[in-house]
Amino acid sequence: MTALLNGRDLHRSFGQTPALQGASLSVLAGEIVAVMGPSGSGKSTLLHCLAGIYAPDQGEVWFDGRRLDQLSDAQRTQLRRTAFGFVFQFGQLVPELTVADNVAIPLLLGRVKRKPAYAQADSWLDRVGLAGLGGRRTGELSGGQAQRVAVARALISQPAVLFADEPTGALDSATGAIVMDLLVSAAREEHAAVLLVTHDAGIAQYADRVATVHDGRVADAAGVSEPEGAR
Amino acid sequence: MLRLSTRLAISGGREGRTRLIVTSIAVAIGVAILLAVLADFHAFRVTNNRPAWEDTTASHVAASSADRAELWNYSNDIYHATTIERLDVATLGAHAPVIPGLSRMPGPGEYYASPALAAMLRTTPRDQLGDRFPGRLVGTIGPRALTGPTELVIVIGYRPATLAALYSTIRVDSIATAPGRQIWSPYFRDAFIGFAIAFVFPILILIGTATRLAAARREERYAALRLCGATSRQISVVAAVDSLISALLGSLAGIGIFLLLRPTLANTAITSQRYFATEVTPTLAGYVGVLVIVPIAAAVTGLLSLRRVRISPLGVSRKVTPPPPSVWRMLPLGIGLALFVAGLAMTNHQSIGGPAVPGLLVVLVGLVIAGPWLTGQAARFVPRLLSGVSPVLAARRLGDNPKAAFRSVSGLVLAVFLGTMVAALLPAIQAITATPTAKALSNVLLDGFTLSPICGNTVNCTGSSQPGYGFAASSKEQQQIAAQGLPPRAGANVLAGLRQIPGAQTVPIYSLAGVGSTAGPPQYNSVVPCAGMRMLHAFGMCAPGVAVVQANTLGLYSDNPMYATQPFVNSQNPAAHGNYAGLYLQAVLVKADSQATLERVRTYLVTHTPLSAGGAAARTFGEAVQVREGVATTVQRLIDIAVALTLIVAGCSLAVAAGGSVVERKRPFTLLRLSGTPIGTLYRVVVIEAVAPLFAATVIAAGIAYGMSALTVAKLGPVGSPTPVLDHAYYLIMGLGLAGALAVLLSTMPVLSRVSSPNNVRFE
Repeated sequence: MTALLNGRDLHRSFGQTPALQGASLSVLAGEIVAVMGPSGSGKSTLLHCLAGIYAPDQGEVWFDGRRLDQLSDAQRTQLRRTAFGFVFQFGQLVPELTVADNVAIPLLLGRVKRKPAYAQADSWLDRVGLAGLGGRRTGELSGGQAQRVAVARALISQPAVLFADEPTGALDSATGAIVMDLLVSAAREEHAAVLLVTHDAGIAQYADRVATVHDGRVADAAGVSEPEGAR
Repeated sequence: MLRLSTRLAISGGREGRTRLIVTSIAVAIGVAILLAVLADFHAFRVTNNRPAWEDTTASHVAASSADRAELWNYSNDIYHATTIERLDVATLGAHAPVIPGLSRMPGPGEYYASPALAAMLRTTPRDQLGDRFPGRLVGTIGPRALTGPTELVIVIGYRPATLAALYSTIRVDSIATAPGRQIWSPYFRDAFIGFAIAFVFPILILIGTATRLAAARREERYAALRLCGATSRQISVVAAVDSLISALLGSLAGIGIFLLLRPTLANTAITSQRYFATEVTPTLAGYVGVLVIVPIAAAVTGLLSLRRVRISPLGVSRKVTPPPPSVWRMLPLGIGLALFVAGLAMTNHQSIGGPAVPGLLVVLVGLVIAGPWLTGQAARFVPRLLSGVSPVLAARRLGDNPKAAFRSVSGLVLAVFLGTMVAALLPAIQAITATPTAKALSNVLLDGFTLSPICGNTVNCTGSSQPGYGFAASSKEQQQIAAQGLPPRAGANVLAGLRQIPGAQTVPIYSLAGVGSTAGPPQYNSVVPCAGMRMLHAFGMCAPGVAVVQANTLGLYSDNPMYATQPFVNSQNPAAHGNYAGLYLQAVLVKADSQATLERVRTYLVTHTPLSAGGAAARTFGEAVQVREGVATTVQRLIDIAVALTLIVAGCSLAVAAGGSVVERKRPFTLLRLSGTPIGTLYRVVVIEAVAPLFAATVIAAGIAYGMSALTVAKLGPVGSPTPVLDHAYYLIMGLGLAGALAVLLSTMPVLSRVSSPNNVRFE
């Protein structure tokens, strides 16, 4: 089976500190992959490289047959808007905007008309259990509600891959479970692949496959197949 | 995208609204002050560009139709140290030209007065003012003939034969329409432009600081948008719209504030005269310019601020760590000082050396350039001079970005520099003018009757009919009057009349021609009775036993009191012999015991010396000093206003910058408080961050300004001029200004307390 997203022999350093030292990982379409490892092992850096946020110092990132690490900033930006979704631990919502605005942003940035954009946003808020809260400010939400807004925003543009970096890291276990149930079920309904960075074994159980990172390398990256056009 | 950007700008919750309001207020203050400067400059320009009927000259074609001509005698009078412009006129025909502001010229026995003079005539005893003007008031002069509502002007009608007998009468067939020649206007214009430019700088800093308010927090939002797929261009649009909207709101509010303050501004004499209220307004282009340029400038500032950071989907990072300011930043300041000193070296009593003024401007710019380096040096010394953790925290931030730290106080530094220069220079200049001799003679009035090439009674010296165009000054007798003064009989009558005025003591000065002398060298031009000199001993004393001396009184007619009050008699003056009472009367010096007596004397002289060839009005030496000081006072007022406004604007900049820096550091400050740091420590951090660059740069600025002033006084003043001393008013104004800035800074402390409260911990 062909990988939708494939990172090969990725190296990335921050100053004199190496974060990735030859990490390789692939994700199949619709697959949920959890990336685990101790703090400082390079999990988040791997996610950021695969999402095109960081350019690796060495190695290749392929997405849907395209060499992601060689795309321009504008092309990677477009990918983030149309093909990728993101859920981070915190900080990704815009407090100046309402909940509905936040969810509709990816569509508005993609020049979708306001009416259909907000209709879709309302629909997604309904799906994540926040119907009727679209007019609120993000500062008025609980942590769990804010993460559900982030899930709705990440999936509204029907991305091929959802990148989630410690999505429940700031939540208690019960709320975290609710958010993860929602994230995983919504992703499966949308046929989106999920790359989930976590150090919580309980959260990792939501994944189809677990990849462990140690010292900047993926310890068990089995099942990788060559992406289309890679060779 | 524009709609989303607008939404982000105006509906940003409490923090967003607060930022919008603070930014708008800051811009509004800057815009209101900018409009006030533009309005006054517009009034100044319009007034100085109005047709100057006062400059009308004699017609060169004597054969022109009498029907279209008139006799014209323009002069200046003085009342209570204020100049009265006086036009005596006699129309020769029905189509004689009419000055602006009048529908017709007054007929014999009539006069028109400006509204201010008409009001003064109604309330002043006639023997002090009204008797000077023959006839009756038949109307007021319209604004087109005036420079402002307080100007004193009178146009008096005569029969041609009466006016033709006066010395300076000329024949005119057209009224001058060109702008007047204003001796001081170029200086005021340059001062206006210079201070407008100097003042725009702090305003731009204020607007720039305000639009960058809490920039770091906004940039985090931009990172969130980038995560959602917003392009760099879309982020630029968001940032530009954000800055543009607050600046536009601020500009509109600023226009509103200006319109509210405009009546007050119109009633204020900025350059020693009031302008008509209708002219104290910016042009339409000024309003449009403010509404367009300020928001665009703010938008550009917002965009430029994005260039310094890299906004990635994961957050914001500085593109490069700015290198610490190097000592080379002191170079422009050094060059400016060198230029100024070179200019002073080339300065003489006639003109200021060419490089001096550019040197001053380069010093101003150099102070701003050198400020960050000085701030960096101050940051190094702060932890050594002060104990505790606050100086360490403050020094770290100051050292990391001294440019940003200095930016918020740069306006104050410029204000201190200009204020120090004014405080040191102007009192020294005034001390040179208002000599002790001039003060002793402040109630002594001089009226000269010869044709004297001086202009000592008005600030502007506009007008004054010049004889010699062939109409009146052609007779031999008039030529003799022009050279020597009033004929003996007329002079004796004038002196007799003056002696009848209670409280007035008169000293005559006779022309020397025709008097034998014992040993008088040819430079003596006058004969003065010694009895009178005892009353005016400031002018010197004769040798004992001498009744009349020859003297050189040419200096007496200088418009500079420093020269006009020089003694012209001493024991070396040769005695004069012969019948001096039969000489032409060159001038009179009259000592008055009160202001009312003084005006009675002036009224008497105006009405009883029709033969006089002196174009200038009788004035006291005190008034001559006032005229001189008036120019310096006007300059001082302009600079004081500029300094005061700069202090206000710079204080606002400091408050906005300090408040913004507190909001931006909400997270680290809160963490410090969570870890047990007392709030007082954080207060001290913020205060030290503002005071350290302020102290370092203002001490340097004040020192340089004082040094430059002292050098200027030493170069321009007479030998032995004292070193300028900064008086208590300087320390009061500067102290209040800096204390105000500090108070404004302290007013942001509640913000620090609130945003860093552990109860509000919420890192969204």
